[in-house]
Amino acid sequence: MDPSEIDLIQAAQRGDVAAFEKLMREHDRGILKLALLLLQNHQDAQDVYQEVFLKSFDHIKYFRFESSYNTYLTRITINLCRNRIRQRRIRQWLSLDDEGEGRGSPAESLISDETAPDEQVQKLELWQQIQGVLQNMPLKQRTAFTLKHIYGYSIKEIAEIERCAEGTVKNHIFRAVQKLKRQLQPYFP
Amino acid sequence: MKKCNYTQQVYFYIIDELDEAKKTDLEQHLATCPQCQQEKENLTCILSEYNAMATFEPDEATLRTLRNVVSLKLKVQKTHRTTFGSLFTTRSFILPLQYITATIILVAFGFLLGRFNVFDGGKKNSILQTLLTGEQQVQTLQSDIVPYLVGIDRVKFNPASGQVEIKYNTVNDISYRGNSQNPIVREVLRRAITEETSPNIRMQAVKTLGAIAEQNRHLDPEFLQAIEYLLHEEQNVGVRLMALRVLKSVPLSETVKKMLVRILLYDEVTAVRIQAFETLTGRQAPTEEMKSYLLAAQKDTSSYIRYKAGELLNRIENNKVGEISREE
Repeated sequence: MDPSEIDLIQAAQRGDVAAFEKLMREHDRGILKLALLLLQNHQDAQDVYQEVFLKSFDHIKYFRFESSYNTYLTRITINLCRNRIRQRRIRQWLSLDDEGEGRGSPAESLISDETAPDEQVQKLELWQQIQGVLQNMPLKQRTAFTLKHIYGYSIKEIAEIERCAEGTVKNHIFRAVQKLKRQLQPYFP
Repeated sequence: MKKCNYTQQVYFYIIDELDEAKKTDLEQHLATCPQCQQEKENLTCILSEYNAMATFEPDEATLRTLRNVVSLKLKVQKTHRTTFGSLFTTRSFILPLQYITATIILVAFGFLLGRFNVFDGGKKNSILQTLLTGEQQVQTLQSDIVPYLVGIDRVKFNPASGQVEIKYNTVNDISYRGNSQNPIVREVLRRAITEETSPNIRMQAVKTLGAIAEQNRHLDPEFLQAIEYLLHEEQNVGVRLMALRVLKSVPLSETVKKMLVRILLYDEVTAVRIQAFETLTGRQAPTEEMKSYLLAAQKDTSSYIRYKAGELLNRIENNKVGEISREE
């Protein structure tokens, strides 16, 4: 861990809000992106972002420097996303919430004015297909796959974040890839 | 077509999660297996497409807004934690605090009122004192209140000072102290033994009598009567056993003997009969006059009593033989 980051964490542990804000600025982009990829909803992702940092400030005094601060934040984010998805399923089951996954998803950010309309449609269709597969797979597979391919974490690091065996992570990623391959076969020669 | 065994390893080869040995092995295999080559190509294509699509970055303006919101919330949170006064401004704390404060004030007020007898100028309430020490019967509008037994909490004898302490179960922490000759103490003790409903208090009163008997090696007839009553009427075995232990400390008079023999012959509890037997026979050498109840004891259901009684009878017989032979 970077020595300056250690200093910032120690200051935050003493209750220094400014130090914590610096830490937040260093890590928040990745956290928001992860929340967005896991939740597929801007509003939910922004809520989780706030919860992550408020919770992290509350509990930073218990941070023992046994893992990197980024790993620690990633673990909180994944747990909060899990809770959010569970709540969302209950709400959907009770028909309180019409908004499902997919609304306000990152797919919107893929379409720019410079892309040709045909290409836009094709790209959007492929992305939606990928997102559809990811959303239909168990959250553990989705999380492991996202952490591996978006964040470039090693299997060992993912096992540390998820607090499970490396073999379990390998299994999750492999199954996720197999599902993707099966669904996307028609798009590739 | 049969699936190649290496196909599963291809993905881990692409993401560089194979150890060196497996990697080398797979590379050699890939050169010759078209199925694995195809798998590698497909997976690489899918993953690169996915990676290319997922390179979006969160909007900078959104991030800025979120940072400001979190910073603001953190500052508010910190102010609330560090300021003691914030406890009173936080709505959730107000009600419990009010209740707790009001309860503490009320309890403290009630305690002081009772402890220092505020409205009585600090003087002891004479009626209460009379009631508690049982100097005379107290009449209320509804009924007579029996003195002596207004919630005795503890009866204790202090051998060093020779004082009996009777503590009453009241908020005001009232107790009465006096030696064993004090008429109030004697009356309270006697009534505690014969009239108190709580076996715990009866036990304490009997223990106190035991301590007095132990010290004086004597027990007044009124206490002996109380013990006799207890042995006859008491349902609690522990209290009856304690009463028998009291009799161990007093001389073996005719009254005491009668009490013990009656217990030995008629009590249903073996432990109580054994205690009576030991009290009766343990303090003197076996004599001819013991024979009557020893013979009865030989029919006891307890093998211990039967054996001991037989042993004592044998000793009496042997003594008799010894005396005859000495005379000859």
